[in-house]
Amino acid sequence: MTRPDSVFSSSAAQGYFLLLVACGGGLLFSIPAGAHVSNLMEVHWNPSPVVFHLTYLTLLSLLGTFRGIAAARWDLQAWKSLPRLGAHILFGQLIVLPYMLFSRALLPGRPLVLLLLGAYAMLIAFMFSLIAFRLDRWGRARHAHTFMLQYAIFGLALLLPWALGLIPQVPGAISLFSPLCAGLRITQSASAEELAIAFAFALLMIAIQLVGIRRSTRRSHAV
Amino acid sequence: MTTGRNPVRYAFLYLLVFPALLALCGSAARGAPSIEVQIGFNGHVVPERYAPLRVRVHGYDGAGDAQVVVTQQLGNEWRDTATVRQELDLVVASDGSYTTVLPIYEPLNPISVALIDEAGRTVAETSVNLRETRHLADFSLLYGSLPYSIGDDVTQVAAVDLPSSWWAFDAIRSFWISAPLPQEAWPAIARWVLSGGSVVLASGPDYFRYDSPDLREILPLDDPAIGTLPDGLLYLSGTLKPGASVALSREDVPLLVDWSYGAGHLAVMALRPVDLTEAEFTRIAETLPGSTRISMTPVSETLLGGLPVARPTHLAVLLLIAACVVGLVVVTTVARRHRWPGTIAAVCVFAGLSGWSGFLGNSSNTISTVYAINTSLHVIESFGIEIDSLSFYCSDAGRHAYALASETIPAQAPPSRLAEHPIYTFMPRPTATPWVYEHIASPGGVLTSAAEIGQKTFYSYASSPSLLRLTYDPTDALATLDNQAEEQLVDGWLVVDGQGVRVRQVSRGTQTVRLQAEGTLAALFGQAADPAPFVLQHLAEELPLQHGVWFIALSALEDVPSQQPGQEVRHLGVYVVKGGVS
Repeated sequence: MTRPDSVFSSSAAQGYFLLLVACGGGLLFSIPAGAHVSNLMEVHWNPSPVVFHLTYLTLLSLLGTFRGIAAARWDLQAWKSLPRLGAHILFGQLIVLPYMLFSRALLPGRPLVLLLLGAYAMLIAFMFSLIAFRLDRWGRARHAHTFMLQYAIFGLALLLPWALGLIPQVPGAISLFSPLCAGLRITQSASAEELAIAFAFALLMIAIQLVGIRRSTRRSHAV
Repeated sequence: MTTGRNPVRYAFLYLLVFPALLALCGSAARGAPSIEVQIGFNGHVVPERYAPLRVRVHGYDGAGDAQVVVTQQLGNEWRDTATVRQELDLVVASDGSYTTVLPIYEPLNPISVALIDEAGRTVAETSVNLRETRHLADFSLLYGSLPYSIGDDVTQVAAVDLPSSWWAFDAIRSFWISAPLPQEAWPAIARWVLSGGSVVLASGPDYFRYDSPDLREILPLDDPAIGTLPDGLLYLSGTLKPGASVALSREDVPLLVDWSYGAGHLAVMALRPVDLTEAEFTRIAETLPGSTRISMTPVSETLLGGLPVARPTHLAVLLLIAACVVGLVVVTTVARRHRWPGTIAAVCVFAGLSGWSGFLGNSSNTISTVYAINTSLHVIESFGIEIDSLSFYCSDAGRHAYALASETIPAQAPPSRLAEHPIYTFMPRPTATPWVYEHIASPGGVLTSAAEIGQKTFYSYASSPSLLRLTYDPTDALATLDNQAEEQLVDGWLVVDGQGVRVRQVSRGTQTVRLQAEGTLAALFGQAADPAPFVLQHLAEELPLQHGVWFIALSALEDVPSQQPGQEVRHLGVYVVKGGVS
């Protein structure tokens, strides 16, 4: 066990630094290269403006996983770790806020989309942090190595529902369980039903993790 | 004792029910709507050209208006396929014959035509196979009969099949007329000549059986009259209009008089075709220029390429990244020593950076994903035609709707850089149209399919009123211009036989312009401000501006309010008026 670190600790700052640089790269790529339309026609690789938003969503989720693993090692009870974990994610959101506001240009006439995307990214990052937190504590209790498991689950959660949604026999709504797909739909002005599915899934997963953490805390108290 | 029903009693019932059932089935069978469709001139079409379409509707009870929808399947499994759906400007309310004009792309697969009611149900459907009757190049059209052959690629047309829209002749190389036409056919033919069509009037001295106001307008002769040759043959005589010439003569007798009208050409035979020798006739057929097409596609594509991209700069993003990283380092350093002041500093620094990035660093605050240029060319003599072109570049994969100025079915133009496509270094370039993309064309608009990214051009044709009129008095070198165009014309040029002056202010109403201190066309084009030089240069290639009196005017290249955010649409109006000499 380690002392709980603040958002300004060295290990946390590394994550934030990575978030800033990578999201900045995504923002840079999202802006069309070329001063005239003829330049755009000549450049065959012209990334979509949503590159930044997907980068932001992925990296904030990764930061959540990263901080979740760190929080699991804090010398704190689970219930006391969670508000700190939330503060770490909130700080990550704060430092990319300048990028988010800059990216208003990428979604012209749709200011609500940025708000929805910001709220969804926070939920998803918190969800991944809880999953990573719970897995790490579970592994420690059983002296099992879970280091790569959190990242594997992170990768699968991003891509697997999306891939499943492409199979014609599977209902397409399942792809909204993938944060990447849900984020893409939000940027493309998702319908109310799609938003409901995406947000409900994230909230459900958070609730499941919280219940699981509470049970394991009670169990450890009982022991 | 009776054990069953009385057969005699029921026989009356059968007698009543059976005829009623027959009548019911008969009326149902008679009421089932059906359609007969004819595309092209007797099925003769050219890929990538407009063709007339006639739909005959039978058995439609008129329960609401129905729409005619044409579906063209392009390509095959060996290469890309595309579906073009054309929602025609025909409102079918009852049985009858309906005509319109539509672009034909690649008639290798049968073309499906359906009648769709207001509820979206298909009430009648048929398909037309044009594989056997398609031509790979434009062909000649003949109305009437001729004593000698005018080539192998000739299609005869009946009076009932003559279209009423000039662009229905899009696939025609030359139109030979050797019998009097219905009066209502001439407006379309005259406008087609103005747009670049080529007509041979084989009337000879029977001209007055052909006469119509539109024909008189495009005829190279003033005051046509009938003369008699020494050998007793009758011939058509008259005063040559300015620009008209005798193209062929037998000794002193002119056999063929021709001239250019607008971008097109009209020739009239002075003798009846039967009075010509075969050699003379062949010479006429050989010397006759084919039809041309005025296109605004190069103009709209060039203007599109020159549009500035609305976007924030990459430098602003780099500055923002640097500022955020420095801000993070500073607040982290401060917060490690003084936690709460550091936290407050973090909130202040990133709130400040957010304000700067969102409202100052990114002042453009928008990125357009769709850029479009709409050009409308009006070519005007005593009547007018309109040629619209829409070029757009789209960088997102959504469905987008685009509007053209004229309310006709638009056609997709081949991309100007098709030959440079890298795929054709590995395989032969197909003669058909692999560049046609999925789209829905309706009168005056196009809806492109999702996932279509890149540049495309559509064009359409229409007839238009004579919004500008020009007369020129050569003695005083004075031109009188009557401008009734709704859009404001910001620049104009008066050109007389290749010499011209710039008219800087083209006001609405009547104004006079004196041709003084004139310059050549090249000099005029050089003085003009963008985008006029390119437009004028293109017009000089498409129209005979070196001969006769012309007035060219441009509107400003201005933004059109777009229905959807992220779309930047601009419009350019071009007016070309051929003047009369007073």
